[in-house]
Amino acid sequence: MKAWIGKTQRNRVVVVSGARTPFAKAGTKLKGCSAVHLGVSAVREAMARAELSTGQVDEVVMGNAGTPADAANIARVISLRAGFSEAVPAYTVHRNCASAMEAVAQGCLKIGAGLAHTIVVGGTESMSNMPLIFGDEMKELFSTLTFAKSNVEKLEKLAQFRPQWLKPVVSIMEGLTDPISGLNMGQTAEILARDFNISRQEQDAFSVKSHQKTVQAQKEGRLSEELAPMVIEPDFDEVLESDFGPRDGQSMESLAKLKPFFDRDNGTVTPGNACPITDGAVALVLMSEEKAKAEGRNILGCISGFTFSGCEPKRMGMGPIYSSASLLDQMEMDFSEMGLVELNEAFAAQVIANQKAWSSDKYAQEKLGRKKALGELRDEILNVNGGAIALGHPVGATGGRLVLTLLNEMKRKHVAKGLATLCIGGGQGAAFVLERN
Amino acid sequence: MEMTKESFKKEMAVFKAEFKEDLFSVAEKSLTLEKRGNIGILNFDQYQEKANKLSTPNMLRLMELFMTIDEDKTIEALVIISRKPTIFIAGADISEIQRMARGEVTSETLMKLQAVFTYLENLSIPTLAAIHGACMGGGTELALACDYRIASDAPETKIALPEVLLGVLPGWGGTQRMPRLVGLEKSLDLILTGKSLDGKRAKKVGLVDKIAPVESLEQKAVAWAQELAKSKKKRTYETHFKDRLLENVPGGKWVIFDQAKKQVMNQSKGNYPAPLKIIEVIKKTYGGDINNGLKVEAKAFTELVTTPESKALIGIFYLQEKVKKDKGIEGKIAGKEIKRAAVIGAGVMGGGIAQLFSAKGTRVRMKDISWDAVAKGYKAAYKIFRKLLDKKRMKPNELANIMERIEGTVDYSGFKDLDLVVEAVVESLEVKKKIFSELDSIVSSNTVLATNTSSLSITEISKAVKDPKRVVGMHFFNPVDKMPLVEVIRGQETSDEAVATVFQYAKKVGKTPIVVKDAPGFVVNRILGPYLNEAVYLLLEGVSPTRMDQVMEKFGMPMGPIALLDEVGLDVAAKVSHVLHQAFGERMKPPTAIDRVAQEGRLGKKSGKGIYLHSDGKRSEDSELLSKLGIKSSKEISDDEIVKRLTYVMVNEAARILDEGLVREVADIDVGMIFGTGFAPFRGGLLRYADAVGPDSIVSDLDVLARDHGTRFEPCQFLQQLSVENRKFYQN
Repeated sequence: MKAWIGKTQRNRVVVVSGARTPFAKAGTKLKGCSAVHLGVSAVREAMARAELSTGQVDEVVMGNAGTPADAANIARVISLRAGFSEAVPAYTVHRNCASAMEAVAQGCLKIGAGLAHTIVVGGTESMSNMPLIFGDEMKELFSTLTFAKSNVEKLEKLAQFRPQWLKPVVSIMEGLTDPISGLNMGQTAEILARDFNISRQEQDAFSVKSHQKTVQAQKEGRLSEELAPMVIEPDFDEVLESDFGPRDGQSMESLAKLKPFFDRDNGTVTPGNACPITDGAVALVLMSEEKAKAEGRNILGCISGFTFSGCEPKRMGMGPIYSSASLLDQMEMDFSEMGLVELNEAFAAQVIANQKAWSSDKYAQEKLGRKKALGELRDEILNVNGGAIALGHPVGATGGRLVLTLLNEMKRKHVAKGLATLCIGGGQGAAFVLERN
Repeated sequence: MEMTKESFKKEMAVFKAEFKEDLFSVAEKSLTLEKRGNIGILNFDQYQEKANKLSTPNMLRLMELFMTIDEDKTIEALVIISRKPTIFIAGADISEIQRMARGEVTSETLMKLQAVFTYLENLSIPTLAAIHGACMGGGTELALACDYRIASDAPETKIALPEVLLGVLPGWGGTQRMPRLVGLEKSLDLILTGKSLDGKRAKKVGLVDKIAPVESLEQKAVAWAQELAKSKKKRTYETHFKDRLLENVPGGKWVIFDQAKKQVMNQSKGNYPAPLKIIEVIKKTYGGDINNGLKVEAKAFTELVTTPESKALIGIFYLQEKVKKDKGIEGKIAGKEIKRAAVIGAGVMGGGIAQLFSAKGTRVRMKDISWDAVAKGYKAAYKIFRKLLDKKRMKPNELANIMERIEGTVDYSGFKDLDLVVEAVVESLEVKKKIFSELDSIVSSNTVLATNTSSLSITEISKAVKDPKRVVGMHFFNPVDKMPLVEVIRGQETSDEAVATVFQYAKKVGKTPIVVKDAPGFVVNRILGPYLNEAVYLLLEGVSPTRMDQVMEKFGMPMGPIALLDEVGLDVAAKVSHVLHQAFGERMKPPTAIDRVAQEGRLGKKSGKGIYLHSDGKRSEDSELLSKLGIKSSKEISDDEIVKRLTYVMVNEAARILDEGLVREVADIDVGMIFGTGFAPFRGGLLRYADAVGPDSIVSDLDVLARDHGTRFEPCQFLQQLSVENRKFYQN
């Protein structure tokens, strides 16, 4: 696709507020909260911070990858439960790891084109609550028992039953496996580790830094601005005020103990240098710049351009460089103009691979159709407040976090231009350029 | 009693002679017969009224129509249906019951009305009631006299025999036909509690036979009538063995009656004659000849309707009707609609208020100073909703929908677009003023700012904001989900709009409000103050807590004064007593024992010990405490004196409240006492009770008590004047 460029649109699009729930590793603090509840918690706080009344919103768009069985269009359920009137339409979008980014994109498209003034966007994921699925034999048994007319037919089917039919298919594992390449996400990271010769040590060191940066940011309160604490369901005994996952004191030694998960014999990717499966939600309020200014609103930043690109499913981890190169080219910007970058840490290997490719002329020529390398993706500007390896990656929500956290840091450091970019399972990349005055 | 055509014509003549013919012509317009092929449809649509009621003219008209139907051989089945959108038949005309209470109508007349339903029951064609909406009292009895019943599954459909709540019993065959239909146990439950059943539950117990969506109720009723017309099936009543296990076992019936009686005595302490009479009537007549049963029923009704308890309960019914129509102010200002609210303070009261508002559809921002405090608010709200879920009164998705309306926060985000804020933090004027001044700079100028304070001045609090007109008191009682009363407090500057808004919103969330001018203690706490003080004085004079509580529970209070002290908390009671003492002087001086007990950490039920010891939900006397308090057992104090000392100080204080013009009318005091403290409803309220005793009798007793026990008993000016002028509190 061609890049969407803000200044060529009818309206410029700004972010007036944002909020996210604390993120927690799946199966821990937030396992009792449904994806709907997480989404509602984020959305209503974003609305409260903007002091917007629900009657002033044109539409709600939410990203979500693992659709809950009882909330088919989760954005609609979230919208109604967050107090929006029935008259406000809502829809859910899915672009794997960039589902929330896609929601932001949808908001930009509509506001940019003048179809709406105010859209609430974001994403939510409860990976703790992804369904366990029955295999085909059990499905057939249920079907026969329900629909068969004769008892004989039913008994015959029952007689075939084997206990092993009960073994569930873990849908998460299925979801994280790309059907085209047949590889799961971790295996694609292994490929990149080999391509770029990234050692186990390098990956572990990167992960330690990720935890350190996150913990430091937590201690200095740099994350509290985006966080909306939650009273945890279903017992309401505990309050979660900060992300549950970052480890103070993460060390090379403790990481070294872990075994490679995706390639037992020759692999370098472990659960320690990969992002954890996580629960969480993010919401942003997008508005046309004109309206925001007319109402005297606080503007967090402007979305000046975005694009999505396709790449090899086997090497999906390179999505960021493809989409960033494409976007910067079309916006006629140089990468050196970017003061801060958020690049999602799906795997340490994948981020390092991108860093290496960024500054490689060869890669630029062979893969990107460019003469020169993109630039230097320096550590100093990359994921300065930590990343998904420490914070976790709730698939449908992460894109929103990248935008929100980037804007907040741009404000703190008086940075004018920032880049948020993600790799997408299945072989895509998303890139967004954000600007502040 | 049988109604023949001749006797009926005589009745009609008498009726038309006694009352204007107009009444009957209204009945003719309200009850009409329509023929659809071979099905007769009796339409009830009360002319120019919202509700269908079974007034005497309507009953006579029904008789006329039944006789017409009987004679018309082309009608092979009958459907009775209402044309009101949410009411089937709301019951008898209560003003007619009041006429019976004055002895203006006799048992014979009642039996004539019973005969109308007997005639319906004995029609040779199958009859069917199609019920949508409120079906109460006489309406249910009419439906019971039909062979079959079909009801809608809409939430508006509620079927009940609530006569017990007015101190009487179903007098048009309900005590005969309900047990015959649903069995002994179920019918006792329904008639003794007066509870309503929705369509589904009514079907479950056999009270109705079929359910239909309201849109197709009529169509299905007519279709069913056509089937019945073909089969010509009239109802036969069999015992459904599996539902009526107990009553079919030898001796089982006696167990059922015995249990019922025990429960009634336990709950009512024998203060209400109606439930006991109901048990007596059903016991005497169940399974017997219906005509005899109807006679017994009619006699019981006429006995009950003249009791003072029934008059009191009917009085309360009218009080509730008055509150329904009341706007809280004179004049036409409509209160604002409340779509979004906030509660400051997520503690017991704040959390309870947030739960109440969210349950009734309002989004509530629930703010406290820490997330832990907010969590407690959520937990308390969830507990209440969870109980409903477990009782199957709520579905899981409904619970999720409602809980999401509560938005916990620790800052003022989301406060710019609110209709109402209720502050429910600690009872400190300084803290409250600070919060109000903060709110003043954040919320929009349209937001009504209310405080749940129980002991501070609304006028004082309102000084913290720029526009004191928008500050009003909205005083809830603990526990918020159960206590019906809300005191709406008008500060010196409070606008009519603020009062109207809060008054009408209180009604919307299911509470019963009264408007009170700003003065210490408002109504309820101010009246309870001397009551609780006096209880402790009596304690110190040797009356045991158990005895005192028993005496007052027999009097009709839901719990005695010592149990109430422990329930409210000795620390809270001590604090309030000092506020009242400071405001009103010597007569409100609390005995020092209250403070002493509180200071020893005996805070009441919440700390396991107060004046009683509390464990496992039971209370027992604490002899250690009683000896510590140095009780001087002087002469024996009679039950009568206990009641007088405790109730007359309340009457005296209520009289002062009236004298100071703090409430709009006398009835407001009784509404406050009944719905805020559970004051004996069968006595009609504190001031109805005072009128029954007689102000002059009260004044002379108070004079003696003042002489013997202290100036706190001195009757106030207002009371003395009533006595001298031989007037009562109520003018009617």
